Amino acid sequence: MSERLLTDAAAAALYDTAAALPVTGILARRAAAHPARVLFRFLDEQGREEDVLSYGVAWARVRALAGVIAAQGDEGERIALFYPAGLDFIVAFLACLLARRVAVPLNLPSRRRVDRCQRILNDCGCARALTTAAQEAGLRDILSADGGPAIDWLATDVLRDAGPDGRFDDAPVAGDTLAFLQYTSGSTSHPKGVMVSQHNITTNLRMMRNAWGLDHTSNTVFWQPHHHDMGLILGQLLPVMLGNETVLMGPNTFVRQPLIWLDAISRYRAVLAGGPNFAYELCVQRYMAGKLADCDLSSWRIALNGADVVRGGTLDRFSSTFAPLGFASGTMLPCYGLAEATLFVSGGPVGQAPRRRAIDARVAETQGRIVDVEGEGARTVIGCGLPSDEIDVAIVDPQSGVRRGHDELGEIWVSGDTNALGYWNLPQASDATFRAQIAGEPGRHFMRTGDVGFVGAADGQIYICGRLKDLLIVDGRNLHPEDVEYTVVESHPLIKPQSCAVFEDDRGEQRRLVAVIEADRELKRALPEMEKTLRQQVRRAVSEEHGVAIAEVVFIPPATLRKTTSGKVQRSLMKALFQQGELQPLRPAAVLDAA
Amino acid sequence: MFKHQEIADWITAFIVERTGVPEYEVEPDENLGSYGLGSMQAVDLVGSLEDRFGVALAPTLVFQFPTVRELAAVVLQRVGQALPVGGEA
Repeated sequence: MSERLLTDAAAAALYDTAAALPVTGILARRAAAHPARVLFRFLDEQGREEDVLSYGVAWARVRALAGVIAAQGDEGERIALFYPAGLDFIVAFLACLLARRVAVPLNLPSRRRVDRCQRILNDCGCARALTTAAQEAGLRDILSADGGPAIDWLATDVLRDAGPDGRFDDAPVAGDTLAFLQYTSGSTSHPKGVMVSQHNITTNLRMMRNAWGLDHTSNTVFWQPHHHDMGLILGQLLPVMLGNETVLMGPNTFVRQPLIWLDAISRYRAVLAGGPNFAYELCVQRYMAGKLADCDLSSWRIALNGADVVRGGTLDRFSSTFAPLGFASGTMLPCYGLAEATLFVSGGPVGQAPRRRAIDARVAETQGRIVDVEGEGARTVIGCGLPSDEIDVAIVDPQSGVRRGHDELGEIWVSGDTNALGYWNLPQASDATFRAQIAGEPGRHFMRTGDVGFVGAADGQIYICGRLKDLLIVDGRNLHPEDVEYTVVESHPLIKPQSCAVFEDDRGEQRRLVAVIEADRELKRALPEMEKTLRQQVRRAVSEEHGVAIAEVVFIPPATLRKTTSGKVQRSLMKALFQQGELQPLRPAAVLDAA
Repeated sequence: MFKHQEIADWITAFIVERTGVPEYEVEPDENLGSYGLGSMQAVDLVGSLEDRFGVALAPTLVFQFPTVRELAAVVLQRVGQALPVGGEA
């Protein structure tokens, strides 16, 4: 702590400089100005400090590794990053940027999910990968299976003490240089790599810093995976701009003992910490009186809640559970963002209770207007904050492209320097998503988010109501229903292609995924014998492949799955029929027995 | 002192709450993956068992003992081992 206080003045002095430099340039300045100051601490599964990285050591390692990387290949080549939670990832990521390579952060693939990973490597034409010595052999083995590209591997953790390379003492990087590809948007069969530039990163970090009033004293604690935009941008890059001290832990540490996260916020006097809605729900579920006896959450000023639907019930439960430990009202800060905008779009102002509106769901759906109501037919939506003042957010009619007014429903469009450059190797999709124009407002490009919502007339906040296309958002991850349906169909030979609709039953507080499966005559005949086995196979396959539970598996009679004339499954229609109780499932006997 | 059935019921209730699968579908000898319990919920389950029964468990326990009956048995065994030291129950 003492060296931290001693370096506070030096860290503060770089506030203005940091706002305009590429992130590697900021680290160079900070390493020179306050080398001994701690940048990251990493906690193990018990919440004990396992590893530390100072600004000075981080920069030395980044420079050394950049030299190794640059000795081979060309600028602009894509390099995959496969790292377990820990402090080797950020060094490898920044070394790629410094060596003008394009980083591609990826999840460590299991044998079962290798397919998605291979498609991404093929999509971006990746021939090199960085990892740790402990992971290398296993990854080589898994990824060289059928269809895998030839990869040149390098374990970087064993190079920690390599000498710095004079070439990269402070190499300036042009603003529009492509920095990394974020592969969280596409489906398994059609991966989409969002192209994020150095300029995008700096812009988005500055937007967050200014919107939330952060500086070198704003300590943070994060557990999000670094291959996810929130974990990377917020957890690992924002600290470099701020010059603060950040505590990291693995996602598994958090899920197994979520209170370690809260305890770390208390011990390290964190100002900023957050996650998707489920993280707060999990803390409440796992809290037991008497635990966290010495915990003091009063330093926590901003509890971000983003990347998933924000639920009012969760906000209430979390506040009432943790208020006795010093969690102040007005700390919870719902926010909105997406990889296509680098990360952050809206959130704040800091210190105000989240805005809630009870709106007439029917008027919103049929007339596209937002009308406040009470009681029956009301749907509560939570304000996801004010847009950053560096961007323009428009609500647009997705069919006509006409701009809509406040308290009117439409697609959320974003314009500004934070918008990514496009999707890797997909020029048509990039034009459609990143270069949309509002009718009557030529010359200005907007990025289409695909999210439907409105801007509040009274408060200017962004409210999210749903998605244009079917997309399942589970614990902050995007899942494409067609991927889940494919897995359902593949789980048993009796389930035929194009016979399944997967959707979210969002009526209750708890999210429930439903799979409706249309039986053909063969399946209908086999069903009395096979129903239990089929349900179990479906659930097992979906959880293994996608990590989510199908709460309800419904079998319906032949030729009752609704499809368009072109044969596409009509998910939203099936969902409406399910919710109105108008499906007639085969074999409802078991349900009646239990009731 | 906990009984096997008590631990098994607690595991069943956890599965119902986290996955939304109806309770009548959860059977003692079925693989927990069949209820859609993913790897994240498996880690959540291990941590929750640790909290509830006051024992230390390996994060991979659910993969080694993947049914309600097996998992309840191994937790019961650990509780028995833990008792002489602390006396949690």
